[in-house]
Formats: sequence, C-alpha cells, structure tokens
Amino acid sequence: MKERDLEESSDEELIKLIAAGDAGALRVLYDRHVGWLVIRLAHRCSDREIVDEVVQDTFLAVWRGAGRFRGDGPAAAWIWGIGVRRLVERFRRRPLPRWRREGSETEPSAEELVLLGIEHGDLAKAIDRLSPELRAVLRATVLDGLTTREAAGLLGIPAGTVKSRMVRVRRELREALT
Amino acid sequence: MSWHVDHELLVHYQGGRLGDTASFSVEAHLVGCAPCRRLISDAIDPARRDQLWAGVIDRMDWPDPRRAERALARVGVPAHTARLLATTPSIRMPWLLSMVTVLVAAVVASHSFGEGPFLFLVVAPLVPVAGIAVSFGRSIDPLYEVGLATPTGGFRLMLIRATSVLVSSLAVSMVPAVLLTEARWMVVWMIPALAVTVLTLLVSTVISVSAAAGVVCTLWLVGVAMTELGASTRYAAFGASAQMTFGGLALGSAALLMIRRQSFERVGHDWKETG
Repeated sequence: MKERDLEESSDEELIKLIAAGDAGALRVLYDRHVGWLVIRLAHRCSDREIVDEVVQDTFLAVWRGAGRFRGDGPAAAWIWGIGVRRLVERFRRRPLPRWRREGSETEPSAEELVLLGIEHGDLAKAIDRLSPELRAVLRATVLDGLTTREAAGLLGIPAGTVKSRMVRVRRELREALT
Repeated sequence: MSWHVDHELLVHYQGGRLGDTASFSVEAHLVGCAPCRRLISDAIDPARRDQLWAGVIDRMDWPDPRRAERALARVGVPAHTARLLATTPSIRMPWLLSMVTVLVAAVVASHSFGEGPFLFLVVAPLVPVAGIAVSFGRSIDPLYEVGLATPTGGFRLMLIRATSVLVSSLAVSMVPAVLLTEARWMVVWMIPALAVTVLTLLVSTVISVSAAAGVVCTLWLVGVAMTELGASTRYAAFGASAQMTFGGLALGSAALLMIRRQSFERVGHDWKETG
C-alpha cells in the first residue's frame, strides 16, 4: 500500500495489514503510538534503558501477534496491554530495586489539586487522600488492567499484599465518597 | 469527547510532575483519544524515536522465541539456558507425547497379560535413556564445534541438557504412573531410571551416545529378566536390595563421569558425532 494511504488508515486497518506482513504499516502504527507508550511506561519505570527495551519488545510483539488482535477495544489499549505485561515480565526476569521502578513522581502542587477538584470533584480528592502505596496498586489493577499476580510483579510486592491493599482502597474510597 | 488534555497538563504529565490522580485521568483519556496521543507523541525526541525503531527493524527477522522458551524464561530460567533447553529435541512436545503413548501402551499391555504394572516398570527407566540418545550430537547441533569453544560448551552443556531430559522424562512418566498404576509402583522406577541415565552418559564417553543408549538398554532388559527369573518373589528387580544396587550404580557412574568429563570437551569424540 502507498505511504499516504497508510497514513490515513485507522489503527485497526494497520494492524490487519501488519498481520499480513506489511512492515510499512508497522512503521506508521509505531509512529502513532511510540510517544505516549514511552511516556506512560516511564511513569512506571524510571530506568530509561528498560523502557526502551520494553517499547521495542512491544512493537515486535505487535509485529508477530497482530493476528491475535480481536478489535474489541481501542488499538491503543491493546498495545498498552502488551507493553505493560512486557514490563512486568522484564521485572520478573531481573528485579530492580523498588525506588528505580517508580516514575519520577512528586506531589502535585496545590494549584493542580484545586484544578483537579473542579475537574473531577470528590473522586479525585478521595484518590489523592490514599497513601502512595495504595494509589500504585489502584493504578496497576484498575488503570493498567493487570491481574493481581501481574500487579505484584510490576510493583515488586507479594500478590497477597496487592489483594489486601485493594481491599483497603475500596474501603477508603467508599468511606470518602459516601 | 468534550474533555481534552490541555497543554499545561500534558507538559506536566510528560515530565512526571503530575499527581497520581491527574495522571490517571490523562492515561485513561489517551487510550481513547488519537489527537491527544499525537500531541504527546510530538514531544518525544525524534532521535530516540528513530533509534528505537532501528532496534525494532533489526529484530523483526529474528526467530520468534518458542512458547516453551518464553515459559521457561518466565519461571526464572536465564534466557540463554532457556534457549538451550528449548532446542533440546527430547523435551519438545511431539517427543514427550510419543513417550507418554509408549508408557500408556506398556501399562495397558501389562494389564491385559495379567502382569500388573510390570511392563511399565521395565519401560519407564528407558524413557530418559532414549531422550539422551536423541538429544546429543552433531546431528541436532550444526554449531557443535563452535559450541565447544564457548564457556557453556562441552560438559556443562551436556549437564544442562541431560538434566532437562531427566526432569521431563520423569514428568511424562508420572502421567501413566499416576493414572494407571497403584501408588506403590509410582516411584520404584525412579532410581533405576536415574542409574541407567547416568550410566548411558558415562558409556557415551567411550562409544557414541546412540550406541551407549543401546548397550545400556540391553543391559537393563537382560538384568531385569535374569533377576526376575532367578528370584523367588516377583518384582525382585524393583525390591529394596535392587534399589540399593541402582542407587550405588547411579552414584558410581556419576563419580566416574566427573572424572571423565574432559572427554566432553574434545572435538571429534564419538559423543559429538552421532546422535
């Protein structure tokens, strides 16, 4: 397919072409998705080398596994699912100290909190009131869609701890919102 | 969608200076919003983007790691060992399935002749020997001489492969053993299996590995037959004293194997040339 046609194709069409072995389509998909993937992964792992490795693994997995894309959700969600699991696998293979896993997150400024309060209301405040450990578990399980075991691998804590922290998250959010 | 990531939020998110809650919102939004994804993607250094792409292209033609290899890597086996194990013929699925078939057939035949688990006990220890016979040698390893020059070559390579063969053979033998025979027969073949396997490796330092497997198989069959014919009770070849003998044989062979380990490092030895 011509390059301009590829540029105008949807992600789903590109993935179909990739499944048929079209490397040009992979290039276009890569250009569309590499940026946010790098940055989102960097929020979960501050080691740039590992992030780069995981990003490459992810697009190779897309290249080889495009036929398995069922198209029942956004392509970006599928790509993220692959990426975050590669990251979990990477941690399992060679664990990093915890401080190197966490992204370079700092507390939000008061100004941001105010803006967010307007934007998201009570839920944002309730989430902000959770301890950082609880928020990390919430992110891994809810936002990243990982299983308990995978979340444990990503965060470097036992699976039982993930479960008990999720129980606490639910309790604290329920209390804050009712 | 009415809500979009504004520039300030985006910059903070990229720099990792956004709080968790806001990051959650941004990330959840990005999954479904192509324009915002494009905005954020533009911020990444083009040099890094190209460099990453070059790495992807580079590896696109590499062979896909086998499922077995990925599974091994997941349970903590180092990547290079996983690759070695995954290329060992006797731990591949078709081989394992054929071994299960042989063992199940042995159990069924044994039962239909009114022999209880006897035939199974005779055949089960030969499974790892057969596995060894098809796992080593030049015929499966075109880079044999190259391998010898590496730190993992020779003896260590042999140990890694032999261990994988032994473990997988014991595992597949457990399938018919658990399903089809009484509990007390489930384990009595294990020490003989270990003994004949180590003996095969030892003999393979002198003659080719397939010949060694043949010799040991014959010895085993003749030995069992003679013990059974000469003894007053059935299953004498698997009784307590026989187990002691096999245990001793395994230890003795292992000791001799350690002494003769140099023969695994030599190019042109029979061990490498057949398989």
